[in-house]
Amino acid sequence: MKYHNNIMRIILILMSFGYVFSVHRDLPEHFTRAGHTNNWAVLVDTSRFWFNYRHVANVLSIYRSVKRLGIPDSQIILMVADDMACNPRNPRPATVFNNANQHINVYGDDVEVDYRGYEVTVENFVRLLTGRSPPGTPRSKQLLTDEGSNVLVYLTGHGGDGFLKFQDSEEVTSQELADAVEQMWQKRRYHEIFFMIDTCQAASLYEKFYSPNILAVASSLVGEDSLSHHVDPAIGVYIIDRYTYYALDFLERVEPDSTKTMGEFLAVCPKRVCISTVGVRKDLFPRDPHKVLITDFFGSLRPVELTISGLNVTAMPYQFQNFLLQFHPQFQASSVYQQREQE
Amino acid sequence: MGLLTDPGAGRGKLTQLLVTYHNKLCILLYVGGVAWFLILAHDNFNAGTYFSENALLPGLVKGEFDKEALAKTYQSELLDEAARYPDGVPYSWLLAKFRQINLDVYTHNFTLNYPLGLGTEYTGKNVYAILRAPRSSSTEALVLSVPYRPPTSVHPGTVPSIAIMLALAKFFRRQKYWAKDVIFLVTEHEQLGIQAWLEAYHKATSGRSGVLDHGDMMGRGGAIQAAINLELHAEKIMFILMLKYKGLNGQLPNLDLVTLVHRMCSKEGVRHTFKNRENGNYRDTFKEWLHSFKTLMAMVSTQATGVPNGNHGLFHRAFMFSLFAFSSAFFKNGKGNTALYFQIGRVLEGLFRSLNNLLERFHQSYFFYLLPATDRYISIGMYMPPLGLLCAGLVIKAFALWLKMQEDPTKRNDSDKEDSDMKSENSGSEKKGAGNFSLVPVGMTVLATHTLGIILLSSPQALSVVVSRIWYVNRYFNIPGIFYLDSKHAHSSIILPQI
Repeated sequence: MKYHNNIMRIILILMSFGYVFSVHRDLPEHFTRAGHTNNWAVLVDTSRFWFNYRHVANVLSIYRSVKRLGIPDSQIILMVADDMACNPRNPRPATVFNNANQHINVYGDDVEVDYRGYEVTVENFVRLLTGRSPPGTPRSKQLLTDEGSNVLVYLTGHGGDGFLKFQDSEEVTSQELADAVEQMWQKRRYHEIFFMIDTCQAASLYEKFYSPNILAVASSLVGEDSLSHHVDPAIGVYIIDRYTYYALDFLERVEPDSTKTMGEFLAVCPKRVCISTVGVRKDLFPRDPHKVLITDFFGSLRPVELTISGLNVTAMPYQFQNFLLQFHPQFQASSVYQQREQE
Repeated sequence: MGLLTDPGAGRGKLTQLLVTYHNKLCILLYVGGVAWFLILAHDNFNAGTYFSENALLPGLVKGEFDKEALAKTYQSELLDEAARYPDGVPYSWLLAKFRQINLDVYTHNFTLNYPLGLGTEYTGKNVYAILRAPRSSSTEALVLSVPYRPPTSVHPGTVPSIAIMLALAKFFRRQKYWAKDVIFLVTEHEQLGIQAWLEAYHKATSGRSGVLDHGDMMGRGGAIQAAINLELHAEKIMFILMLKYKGLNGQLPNLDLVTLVHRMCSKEGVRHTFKNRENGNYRDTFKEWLHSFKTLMAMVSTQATGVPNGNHGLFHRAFMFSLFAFSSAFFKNGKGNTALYFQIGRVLEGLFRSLNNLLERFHQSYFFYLLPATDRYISIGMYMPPLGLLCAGLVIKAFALWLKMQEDPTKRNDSDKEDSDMKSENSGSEKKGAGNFSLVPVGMTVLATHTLGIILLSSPQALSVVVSRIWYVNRYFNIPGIFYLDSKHAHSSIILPQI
């Protein structure tokens, strides 16, 4: 009897090897090589008042793109300093448009603003990044990242040489920002960070960074102004900024399974259309941007693996399934009924 | 020892040089100051106007005013109504029209206790309607005011302005982008009416109390940020906008408001003038300079009188910048295109939308400036140095005189022996002059002039009492009112109080 069991085991092992080898495929690089496990986005608009309509339109457009590419609201922190949709001067109440053709209402009815109005302050922003929020802060207002998080930080508003203006009354300097990010690194609150800054003299904001794994792009260099794109004559304001307009143009053509790279994204607004020169900081970033997928930062990758053939796991006796699992962890990965979620 | 009392002062070489040549220096400084001021009118020495206030967003929005036919209807109706009230204001018609537009309408009564008329009282009534901002609380307001002139008035009538105001009110009522209240005001009795309305609005009396009783105001909007005073005399063929800004005591509106109006007019293609002069296009630099200079001097002279040349002037005091925006003129040479209700409506609509975007009162741009042309300005920083040069001459003359007075007679004795006799005589007389200098004649003169001034100031009231007692003038005769004479302009505004 014992001899009979041993034979059965050997036959089953041989059969399972066959199954395993027949369904094994080389997993694509980004499934196994992706260093991050989840994606977060921090989208900040720092200016208020009706004539800064375009900054709100900027940040809401990026919010839409990021949401469309898969990052859920629970992992997006949206900070909008003023309410343009309900501003009494808005001739189209409850809407915010980013284009004069007014095709897309970026305000919509599923926008979740986490920090609104006067809550967008330098203190709140730094506390958000460093995680030092007072007890009782709601979850939607906390950045609950860990060491496997890729964070996208988008800043727009009025800026100058070395600072970003918040709410027309205070500023965050590039040194403060660099120190906040270093605190994040010390506490292992990010895996990689991508900074996207659309303000005047934006490059000055990323000059002081000294923590690793930071990739930054700015819409203009020190001494240059970032310009707005066009006016909407029906609403009577400048409706979107140049850099964000062309960045959105690029992002609109990105799908969640896109293979476009960050390198292409960094070159998205040449000087002839942007008028200002786009600045990039990649010395703190270990990988080559041309080999980094854009969905590493903008999307939340949920890979679904397809197998060529099916595997009828219910046909196997339970104790042999456990036996095989011990020997072949890959058996787990190639199961048709499993879907690995990257959260 | 201080500078002025130090006997050692005035001995240095430089000061002696100053004393000997001070006359020439003063003349030079004066001429230099005047020449510098003249040069400022040239384009190379002044700057083009620009917008300082970012919030204005001027001219970005497309105008949508389309009620010019309605304005024409209002105009013809009002002409008929006005004919029925040759001396007064057709209140019932105005109230009815405003109510039809669904605005909050109020009347405001005021009385003038005429100080020169032995206690006669004149009454007046203003009519105003408030368009409340639909989605914001009434914290701020803009005013569009028109002075009503009955057909028997000596001034040109303003029926077209009331017509366009009503059409605009109807258009504005249907828009949802107002962040401030808009107050449409029709005043009576020229500047008296507007003064009374402002005093009642702010519950404050300026000037002598008891003269103008401003009455109570039933309905109120928010704090007034800007006001436009409209006086269109006709919407006939040659239509040109004359813009005037002078306020009480020469106060001017913020340069941003001026630039805004000129920019709006240019955008809609309406010819606009300042001081009755349009921007000229001259090839010859001298002619160009002369044109700018004449405009500049026109502005300076009207400002010097300190009299507001329209109702707008009374708004300036409390930071409510306003301008006497429009009035039409007939040009003899007949060139130019017609600006009809449509264009005026568009200009006003664009203007009010820009003002609507404001967050604070006008404070960014200049308050003190001179305009040599509609699109160029001379700021206070540019016209102060020539003024400084003019005043420097005075200061130097005074200093030199003082130094001469302080000259020590013994110093003269040390000078050249050849002229010592002559000099000693001189020094003797001067010493006598310096020693006997007394302040009594000076004090007497000052006292006499002040007394004369006080007598003159209080004379009208006293004289009127005296004269009336002597000549038995009773209150049944029309007593001419306050007479404003604006030296540069042909017309003068006479306020005829109604009994």
